[in-house]
Amino acid sequence: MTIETTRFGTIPLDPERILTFPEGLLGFPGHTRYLLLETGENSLFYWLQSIDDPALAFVVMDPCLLVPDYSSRVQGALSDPDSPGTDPGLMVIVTVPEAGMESMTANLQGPLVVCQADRTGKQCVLFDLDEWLHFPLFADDGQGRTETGNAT
Amino acid sequence: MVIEVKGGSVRLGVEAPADMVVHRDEVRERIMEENRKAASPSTDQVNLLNSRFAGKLKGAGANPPNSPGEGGK
Repeated sequence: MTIETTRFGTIPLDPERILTFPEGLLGFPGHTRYLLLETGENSLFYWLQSIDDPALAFVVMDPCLLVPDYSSRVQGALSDPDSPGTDPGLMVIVTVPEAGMESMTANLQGPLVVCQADRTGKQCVLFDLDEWLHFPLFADDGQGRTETGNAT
Repeated sequence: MVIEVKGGSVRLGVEAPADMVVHRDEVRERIMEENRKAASPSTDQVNLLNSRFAGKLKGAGANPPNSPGEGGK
């Protein structure tokens, strides 16, 4: 089984690796099936490639690299009956600006929460954490924050 | 107040002013907008991103946010 993508051409599709977001991502309700692909060797960043649309892909990363206690800080916000799983996988979407890598941000307010057991997820919203919508990947000194985490 | 008890979980309701609902819609709308902005960057941009972070990785890439195969069936 294969899928077509605009970036990577035809790639193999292992059904066991499909991530399903039954509601889609916010603003993309029709795109429910994705694959996680590496963006490079040992990279922090992954492609979340749509299976339904060859051109649609997001760049995602592990939010705990930016906020080490992210998982526990969002736990309260996520503990509703509709949230998948008790030990969910977390990803956040990175916004890569057209120019100026230094202004690159991750959306920590709208994490993708994936139930590891059935690989089904949803984009959750942390309503009280507006300041996390544009979480900068680079600290003020221009160094990547992931080296030491966000110490502030 | 308790709205529903189902399968061992309890749904609680809170009487809230209407502007809280508006706030929630606004937040959701902002995340939609951010998703649209983040959608489908070019591979060039992402390669640049990786080179910018090269050397700062400390092997962290060995733990993908949701590794394929991990915790599977």
